[in-house]
Amino acid sequence: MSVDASRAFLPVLRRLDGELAIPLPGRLGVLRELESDLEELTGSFVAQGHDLDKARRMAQEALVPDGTALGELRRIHSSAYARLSQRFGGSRLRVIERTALVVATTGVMVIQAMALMGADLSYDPSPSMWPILWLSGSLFAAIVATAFSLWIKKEHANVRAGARAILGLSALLLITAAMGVTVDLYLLAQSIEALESGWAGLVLDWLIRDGTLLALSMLASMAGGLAWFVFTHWLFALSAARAEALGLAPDHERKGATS
Amino acid sequence: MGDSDFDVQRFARDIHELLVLSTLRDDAKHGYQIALDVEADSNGLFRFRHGTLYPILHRLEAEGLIKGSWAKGEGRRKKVYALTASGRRHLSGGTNRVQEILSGLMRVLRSRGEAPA
Repeated sequence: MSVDASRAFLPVLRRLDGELAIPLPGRLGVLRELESDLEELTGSFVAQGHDLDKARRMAQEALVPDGTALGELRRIHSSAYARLSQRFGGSRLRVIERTALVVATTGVMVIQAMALMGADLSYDPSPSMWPILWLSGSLFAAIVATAFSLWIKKEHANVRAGARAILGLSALLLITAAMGVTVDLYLLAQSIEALESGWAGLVLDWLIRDGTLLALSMLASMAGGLAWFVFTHWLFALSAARAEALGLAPDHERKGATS
Repeated sequence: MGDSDFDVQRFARDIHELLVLSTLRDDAKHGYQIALDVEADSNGLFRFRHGTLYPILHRLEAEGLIKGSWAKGEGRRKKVYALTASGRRHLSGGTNRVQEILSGLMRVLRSRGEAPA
């Protein structure tokens, strides 16, 4: 943890950072505003003839929020989801939230499956298509849940784990697709070996089947990679802003201080 | 005026909000400047202590009665608040309401004071 000697109010700001349980962007706004006002008010008291230490104490007494003011700030800056949760009960809202996620994910998987079965080019999909469908549905669920956590619930603590899950699922999709193509290729080779002629149709089928498999898995992986980039970039920007506001070293942030 | 019509805590909150709005009537100001001006204009009668100013400022901002923006001055960025058109209307209506309440209160107090012992 680095200490910036020119910023005398950092200990107060760090204490408030722990006490002010509101979404990080709002909390950073409050802390930045408070620091600039504390410095200005201190300057004003010094200009009135008070010594620097006394001026700082007076400024803190006037501007640093006490328990009641912090409670008011929490009410004003809490996320819409937190207010809704207080109103209707957190557990009931969580059940609704999870049900909606399951319904949406199942819906996406059903639509994907129907599109594949209905398409002329993939009437006979590769056996590896089913794990790919399941993985891409899970990836979709992870992206939606992480986005919901970051932008609606504004609970940043879960986002890092969500981003890791998205990256893992994207990688798993590509690995599964590669393994599927390898197995299909091996089966194709066996079939060609067994046939003396007329194997051109088999190759064409393999190309269509595994081309579809690869295209779908790559598309889903790219969407996962893009989502991972957006979430981690967003978190990094928030963490850097918090480190700057509280005079912390960036490595302190990497240890999971974002909440 | 019965208990159900008049909430003392709410009235105290309204007074503080109106004080903040009135200091912004002519110019945009920083938070600390608003606190200093309210204290100076009221000869020390109203003072914001222990950070009570910030919930008021942020509530007024959330309600769209004032607008906060970050200004880069000398060195650190500062948050500056300005009165919005809706805030100006709220200030005018609120001032009339406070005047009405205080007139009613004074009427009651004076009538009791003038009553024969």
